[in-house]
Amino acid sequence: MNFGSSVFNSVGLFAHGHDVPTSITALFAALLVGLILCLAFEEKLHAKKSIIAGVFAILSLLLGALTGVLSFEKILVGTTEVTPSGEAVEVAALEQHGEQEKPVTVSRDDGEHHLFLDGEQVTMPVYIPGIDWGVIAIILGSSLFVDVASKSGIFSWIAINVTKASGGDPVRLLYFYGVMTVVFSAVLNNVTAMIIVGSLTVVSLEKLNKRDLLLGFLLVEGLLTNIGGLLTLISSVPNIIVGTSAGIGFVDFFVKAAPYVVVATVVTLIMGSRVFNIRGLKSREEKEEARRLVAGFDENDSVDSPSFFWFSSIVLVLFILTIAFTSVIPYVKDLGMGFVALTFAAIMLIRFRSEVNRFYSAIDWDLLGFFMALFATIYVLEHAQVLGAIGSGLESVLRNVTDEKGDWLDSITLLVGSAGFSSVTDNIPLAAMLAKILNALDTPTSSTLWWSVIFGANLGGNITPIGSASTLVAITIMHKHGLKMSFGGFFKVAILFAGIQIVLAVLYVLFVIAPGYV
Amino acid sequence: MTQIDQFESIFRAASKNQFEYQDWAVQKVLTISDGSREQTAAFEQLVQKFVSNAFETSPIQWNSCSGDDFSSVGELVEKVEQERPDLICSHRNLQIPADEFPYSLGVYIDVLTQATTFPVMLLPHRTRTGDGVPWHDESKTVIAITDHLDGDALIVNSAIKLTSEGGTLFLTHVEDEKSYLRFMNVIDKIAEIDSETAHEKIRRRLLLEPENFVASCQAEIARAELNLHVEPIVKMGNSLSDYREIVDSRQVDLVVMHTRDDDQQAMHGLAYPLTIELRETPMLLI
Repeated sequence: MNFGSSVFNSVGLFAHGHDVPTSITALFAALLVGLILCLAFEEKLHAKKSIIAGVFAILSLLLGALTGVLSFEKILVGTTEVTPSGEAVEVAALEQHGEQEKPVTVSRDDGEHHLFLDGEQVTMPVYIPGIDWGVIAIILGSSLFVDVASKSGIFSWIAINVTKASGGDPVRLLYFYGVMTVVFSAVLNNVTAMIIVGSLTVVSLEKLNKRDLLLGFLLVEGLLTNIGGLLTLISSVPNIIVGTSAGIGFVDFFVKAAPYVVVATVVTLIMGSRVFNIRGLKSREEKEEARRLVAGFDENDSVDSPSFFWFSSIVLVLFILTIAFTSVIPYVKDLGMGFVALTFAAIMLIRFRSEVNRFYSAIDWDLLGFFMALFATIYVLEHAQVLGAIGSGLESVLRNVTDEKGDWLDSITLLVGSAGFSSVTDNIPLAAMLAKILNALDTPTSSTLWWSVIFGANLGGNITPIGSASTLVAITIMHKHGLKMSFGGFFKVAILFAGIQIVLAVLYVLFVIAPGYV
Repeated sequence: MTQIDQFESIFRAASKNQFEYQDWAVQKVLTISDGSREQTAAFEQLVQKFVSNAFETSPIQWNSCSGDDFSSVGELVEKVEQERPDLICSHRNLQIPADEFPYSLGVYIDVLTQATTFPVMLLPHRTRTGDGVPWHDESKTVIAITDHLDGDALIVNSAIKLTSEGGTLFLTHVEDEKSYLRFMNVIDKIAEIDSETAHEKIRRRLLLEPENFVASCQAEIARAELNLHVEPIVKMGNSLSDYREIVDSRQVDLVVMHTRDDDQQAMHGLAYPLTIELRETPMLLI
């Protein structure tokens, strides 16, 4: 299949049909490599992600303008239906209505092309349509919602009750914290989950005089954040990007991912207790003492307002339910999950209407800036045919991307490849690129290839400490408390866990998500 | 402040010290006096009467050491180490003239409270009020004094032991206002710290922890069905003058406080000035 001249050169995603010299494509491909390398060495560069991606976005846009890769025409918004064909479509010139340019409906039905344009032309910066505002809205709304809800003390209330329920027994504590990490990662986000559970782990192990177990606990929790990130469509950014591109619904995602999350969590916890020699308490006296010590935690200490606590609890449940059923709720389904997240954030902010500034200042602007810059960069790379070239390369490696189920070898290749890539650099550019490429390759929603990218992008973060932000948080907490953990040291321990998780994921994708391969 | 610090602070704040009641098993008491054997026996009887409403005295082995039994600090310490009592009862100005050195505990008491590990019940000098008993009949009102009450189960258990049936135990914590203001003054000069929040939160937190601990003591005492009433006195103030005012206004029978300090050979910070200020009040020095 001539990848570059068919799908990618049509009215689809890539380049809007204009030819780009190979040298220009190579130049932008070099930019992409530079971006990936800089993100991989983020710590060494002492630069935040948003700055790195921002610099590359500026460079890409400037070069895009300079090389003529970008087009600066007015953008049509409103009703637009495009049916791509094997050849480029010629759009009829816009009719002049007096002094105003107005788009017209062009209908060509010769068996090959269907093009309807009856929207409105607007002027906007070239980088704006490249940004996936749906993703930005989900991240902004969710983080604001979680930040305000956490002020009610609900998450610390849950965390302390879990600690008390464990009775202070180290093994039970590890299992309880492990499950809590997974659930918090799924409902909140990986980083917040690691911060909450990691902080509590430090305090409770100090209280139980079991500080020697801290490293093992933090490492297992760090690894579980990335497993928890697989549970729902909105649990991690790669899920949001790939899931929405593939058209996987929230409930469908949860039903397919949950069994794996359960199995991987159990396996990781059992391995964790063995590898780090975390043993249960034997004597009755030891158990009594541990129970007495954890009983000293007061779950209500951080609950300043019981009414706000209950309000937050109810709204949190409603938020999860609404997100879960967004795709079937009339009207809301058209507005999307970003709208739901922003609406719930606004509901929570009403409680603090006179002091919302402190929540706005707590927003992770680095993350949002990173996404916007990344999307803008990828948009330029699309126009420069870089993604088309990668897609061609990928297509030559993969055997059958359009297969309804997805080819089994392709699934393994994509999963392991994504994991490897995600272990050394940010998994978000990978997810964004692969989502666009698979979409452009007409990969069906039912294909396991989407799941391979999702599993690989999430689990790859468990191989190295720089593979995901949450494992980096785990390392930060270790260092804060004087525990030594080098890159190599982490890799040596984590590869064992990540290896088994990836093998499990491969088997799960092949035998559970799309059974009948072998 | 990073989010990690924020959540660690939340969980550290939620982690509260719980009081655990443990009966102080007093099996052997040594009374030390600088008087004759008869005077020492009389002193011992007064002590027994004083504590008799707090705990059963008859099963206890009472030994005594009169002024004839020792002539130097070394001899006294050696005798105490041989006896290894659960409690030492003695009086101020042991082997020194009380009238000449009214503000001194005397070298013997100094050494007993610092060089040995045994709790010392220090009573006013036996001759101070002539033939009358220079202290109250029983330990009905006991006050535990410390500048760090939170988590101090030793002082509370000791005070419980010596509080008479149906008596009142005051658990006090006076946070030194001068030190607090000095730190706040420094915080006011640091631009990165929100002064208003620091003033409000630090003051509240300093008092909240001892308050929580007293609440835990009250709950545990109720659970153990002990017949005594616990009252908290937690405040900011000038430690010495405030403690003196608290002791005077409540007609306290016995003051319980720490005197030993692991970091130094001298008496624990607040203990020495209090032993000088509260000369007329029996004290348990632990």
